[in-house]
Amino acid sequence: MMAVTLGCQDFSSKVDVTELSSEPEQKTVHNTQIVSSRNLGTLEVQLGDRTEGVRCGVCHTTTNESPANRPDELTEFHTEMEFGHGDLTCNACHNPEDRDQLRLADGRSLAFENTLLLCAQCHGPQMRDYRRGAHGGMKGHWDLNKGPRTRNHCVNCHDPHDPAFPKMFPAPPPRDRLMPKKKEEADH
Amino acid sequence: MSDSETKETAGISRRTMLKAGGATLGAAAFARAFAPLTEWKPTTSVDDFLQKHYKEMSKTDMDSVLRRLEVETKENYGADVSIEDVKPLDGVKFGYALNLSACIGCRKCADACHKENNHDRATNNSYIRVFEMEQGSINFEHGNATYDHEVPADGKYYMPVQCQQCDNPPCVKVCPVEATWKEKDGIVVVDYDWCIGCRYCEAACPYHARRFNWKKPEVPAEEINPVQAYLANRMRPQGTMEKCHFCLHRTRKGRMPACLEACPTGARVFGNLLDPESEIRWVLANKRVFVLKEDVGTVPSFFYFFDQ
Repeated sequence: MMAVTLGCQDFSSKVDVTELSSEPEQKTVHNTQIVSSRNLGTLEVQLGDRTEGVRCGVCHTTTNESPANRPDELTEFHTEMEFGHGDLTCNACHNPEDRDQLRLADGRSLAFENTLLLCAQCHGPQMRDYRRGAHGGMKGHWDLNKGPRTRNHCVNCHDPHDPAFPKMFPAPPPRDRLMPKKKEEADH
Repeated sequence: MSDSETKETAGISRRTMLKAGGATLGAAAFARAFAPLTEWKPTTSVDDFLQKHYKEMSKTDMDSVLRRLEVETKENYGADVSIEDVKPLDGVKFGYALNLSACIGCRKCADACHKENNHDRATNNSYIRVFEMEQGSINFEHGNATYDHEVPADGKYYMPVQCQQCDNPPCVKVCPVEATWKEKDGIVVVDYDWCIGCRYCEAACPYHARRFNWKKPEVPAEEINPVQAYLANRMRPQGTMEKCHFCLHRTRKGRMPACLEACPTGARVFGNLLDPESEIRWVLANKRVFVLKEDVGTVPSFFYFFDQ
């Protein structure tokens, strides 16, 4: 069964990963929770001097026009978004019948908080590794008998519309006086 | 002849000057060489001097040492800390695996180590060195640990190296005073109060994992991590060796190491090698895994793996 238990609070979803695990009979005392850092299913909208998360359905129920289904068809809305997720169409993941929901490949509707299952449809090896603790960052206890653990949701690290992990500037290098001399960038 | 006289005078005066200069320098060098002796007295108490080896201390001995170290930390750093002697857990042997396919070289692990373990701020010391490597190469001796540009760079991959907690640790063998040893959970530890600073272990380590405190580590009081352990992140004295201890003050209480929690890509997997259901065991059984410098026979408890 693919169903996951979840409690939604302030847009941060908490999924009990023991339901996702292939071995449900864990002798764990504490839970592993998947915590989302994104406001799932909402769009940040600037209203005067404050930013509000607006549910997709707020706009998508006020017009009868059929919305764009490919990123390059977007002319009026969502034009500031970056798209880099292969050739996926909008409705490959979003449910055109209910914009506050996602849609699995078999047509079933899916809450935004359960994105893990949607991603896993294509990214099986990543989901397998994730279940075994070998993909995705975590915090807390290695020994669940001693304390709980929190795990990242797919979308904490991967923007679903542009999922490649972004480049970044590293933390400063060591200033150890025994460090080897900095190699020239144009070494090769 | 006035010319030669002048030369003569100049020659003598130069010689005299050189002699005087040499004597001054010699005296200065002498004073400098003996400076540790003059500096030794105020920083070393009688209790400090008479302290027993870690393994010979009773619970009472250890408690008094810990309280004394807490007082010393307050005096030297102005920070209120609590120092514990955290013992290894039964049925636990720690293992660590790092996913080279995921690591982007952001150095957040090294930075987290720097803060967690109260490293000297001036040197930006850390138990982790992240090497920038040419794709296709494997020898981290040719890696660059001081890169400072956007990562990951094209054509490069990144290999963080820290203590490999070897099962056959050369650093332990060479220590002339048994100030470093391997504990039953696999962690190689240092008793900073027993170390004489000979740096043999630093030379013996094929992974360059050991660090020497050339100076007293300086950390502002408000930045000191107050949760400390005797064999872990307490303030280290000048002239002693230190190294990664798998954050034993955290991990022996069931928590993840600081470097793992800091990793933004989830490249690090930590756990109990003796638990067949652990994440680390799954990685070892299912991924392409290797250890650094396998040929030198150190038998590391630290592993590297790939996704593809």
